Amino acid sequence: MDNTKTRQPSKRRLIQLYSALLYNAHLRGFVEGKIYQGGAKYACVPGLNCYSCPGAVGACPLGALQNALAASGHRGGWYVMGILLLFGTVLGRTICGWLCPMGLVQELLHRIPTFKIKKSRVTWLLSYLKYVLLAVFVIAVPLWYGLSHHLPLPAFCKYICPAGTLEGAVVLLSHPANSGLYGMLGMLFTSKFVILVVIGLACVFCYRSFCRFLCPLGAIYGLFNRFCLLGVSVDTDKCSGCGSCVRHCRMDVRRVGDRECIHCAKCMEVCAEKAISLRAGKVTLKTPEGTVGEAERKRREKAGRIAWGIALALLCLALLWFNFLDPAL
Amino acid sequence: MKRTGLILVVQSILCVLLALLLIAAVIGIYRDGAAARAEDPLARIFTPELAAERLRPIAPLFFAVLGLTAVGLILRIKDEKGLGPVQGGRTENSARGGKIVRTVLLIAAIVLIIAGLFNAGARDVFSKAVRICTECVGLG
Repeated sequence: MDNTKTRQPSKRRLIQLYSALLYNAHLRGFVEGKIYQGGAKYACVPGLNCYSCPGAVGACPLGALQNALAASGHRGGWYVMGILLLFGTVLGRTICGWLCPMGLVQELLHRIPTFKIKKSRVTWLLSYLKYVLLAVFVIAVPLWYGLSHHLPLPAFCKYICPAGTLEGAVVLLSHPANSGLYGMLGMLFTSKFVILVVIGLACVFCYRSFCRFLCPLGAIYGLFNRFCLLGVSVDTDKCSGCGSCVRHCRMDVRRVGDRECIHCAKCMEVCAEKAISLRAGKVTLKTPEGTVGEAERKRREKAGRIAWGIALALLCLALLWFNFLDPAL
Repeated sequence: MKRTGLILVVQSILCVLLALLLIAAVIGIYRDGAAARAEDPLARIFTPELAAERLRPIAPLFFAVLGLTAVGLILRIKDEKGLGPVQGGRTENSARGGKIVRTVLLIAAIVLIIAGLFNAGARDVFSKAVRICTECVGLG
């Protein structure tokens, strides 16, 4: 269904907003200018969300990975690797398409009405850049620095990550209680701010520029896309190979569900053969319109309402806990 | 020029201009602050007052971008060509699979997480996450 015609936010947009709010449920952090220090930060959130954001209630998986690698000399980073393996195997890049706050920010920036740059061979080649950043800034530099200097150096977080600048720096520095932090700002902040502005501008003109070209977390999850439990699936018996799905997709995919696919399921709407669906293992979550009977449609709608009810209850509980009830507050 | 094209052109220019001015502002703050620090080692490079002074002139442009965005969204103005499909090419979509691989990876994930809980890896994550990451926010 084309939600632009109804002006209603799509379910995917609602889930993106929901997850952004859930990851940053510590709303009093924005009011007080302090970060959350409770036990929930033992867990990593699936998407890219800086743990220095005053609202963040979980750890950032990318930051945690770099610190774990830096500490490899005296302790194996099994916990973080296990978490990334779990997220990747269950969700793959569905996280990018549905559960990442930075993905949401990029898509909202792309809604600004300007001329847009389409994908091309150049953008497809650029999509490999995130693997270089993963190898160098996320793995090699923290590992080398940790082993040689016995000090953590989360190189991607320190030199590049726009989430840290936007969610951490800008939000923290906006609060009067943190005016003392201004004394620590220098060349590093200047360069990170410039990178943030450039990435933001790129996202306005080019769909999900950070996600496609720079995000190491997307690079990691993309490796699991072929095996992940949840994601878009093509019925190869129905697929005619027309390529309409790939042509309409704004990511640099070569086929549906490859390492660049964020499982947004927009290709489902353009497939003439109705061969694409969103599945969680054997359970079908979303199919093209007109492919299921009335009874099945009503059953799915009911299941959807129950799921939303549970999700909203969870969100309310999280907001209560992280703002009023948590003993760590 | 049609209204759609005009708004797209103006908005594109405004966005680029806003980005350039933001970059110029922060570089200007750094340059002036560094010069002040060269004279007085205790001087701050960035101060809230300096940031406000440099960013205040950019605020009207920021609101212009916001306003034009609102107008564009209400009037449903978009670059149809830029948002449309690309040309050419067929594709051979393959079925996703690897149930055995997925099961093995899931088991490995659970084993690693449990191992990490026992070797204090989770505590490392926690102890890092509950402190302001000075590297992440650009404090060094």
